Amino acid sequence: MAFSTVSRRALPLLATAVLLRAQPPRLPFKLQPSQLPGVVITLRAATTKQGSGRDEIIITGAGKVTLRASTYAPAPPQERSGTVPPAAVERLLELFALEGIETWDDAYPAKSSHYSTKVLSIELRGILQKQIVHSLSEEFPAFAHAIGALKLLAAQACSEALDRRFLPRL
Amino acid sequence: MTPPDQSPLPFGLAPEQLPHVEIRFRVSSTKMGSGFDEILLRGNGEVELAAAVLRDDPPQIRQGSVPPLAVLRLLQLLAAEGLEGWDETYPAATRDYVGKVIELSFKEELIKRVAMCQTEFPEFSRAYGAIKLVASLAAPEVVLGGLFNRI
Repeated sequence: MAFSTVSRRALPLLATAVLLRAQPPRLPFKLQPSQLPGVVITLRAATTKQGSGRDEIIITGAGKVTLRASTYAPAPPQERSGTVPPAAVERLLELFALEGIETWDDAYPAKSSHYSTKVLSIELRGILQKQIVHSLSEEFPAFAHAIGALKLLAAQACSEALDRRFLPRL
Repeated sequence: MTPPDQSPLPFGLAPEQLPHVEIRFRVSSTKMGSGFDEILLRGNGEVELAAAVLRDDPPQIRQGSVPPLAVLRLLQLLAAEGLEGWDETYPAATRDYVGKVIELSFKEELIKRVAMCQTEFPEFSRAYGAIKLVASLAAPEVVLGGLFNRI
């Protein structure tokens, strides 16, 4: 009962404290909105199987979305492209920041000899800001949040982003 | 090659039924007096956000909209991530926990409810991230802060 009374008295303070919770960084890597046109976000997936191809989603800050998929290594990739509003790419980067991308490790190595790898990278005018090589069998939640958001955004431009027949590794 | 828009929707839903679909995502904790954060996405593109810091607080509400295509793609993503095969409950292993609930309704009738009270599995997490992004297209504060404390 005493705990309940104290808690109720503290509730307004608690509410204020929660509301004043530190705001997340708006964009990661100190990017400015004016730099968005120079940003390129790439998600690539491949496996260690011999001759295996790879799947790729590329989203530029200007809103261009490109999907590339090759069934096996030497084959020329199939490609789809479309566009999304640049503001949507900004939201994606803000979501990355909120999920803590700046604090993620650069590599999450595999624990077995055969594995698939997802590589998420962000570049600004060709200069790598961050690259995460994820080869664990289970994605950690924040990374998976980012991947889900990225796939959803890519699918706004190209529905094949959600089609496992087109991007079987993503 | 699959023609555009042929990715299946979950539970046999058809694109023309989209205006009657609702996706609700709510996060709350078992801490005494704790409130909740909620995203409601309607198939017609309406987005409603609700947040209550404390259980007895009236929730703050924000409304916005996204193109209905964004909700259609979200449904396709939920299907691709395997929503239909998920359990209804992933119970907590401890007494205090955060619960994340995804609900899919059609004409106000619940089709699927998934309550995640343990560490998320990747497919659930990808759905979570996608829901958050769609909501942020209507209301940037979803990813900028200032409304939600749990999502």
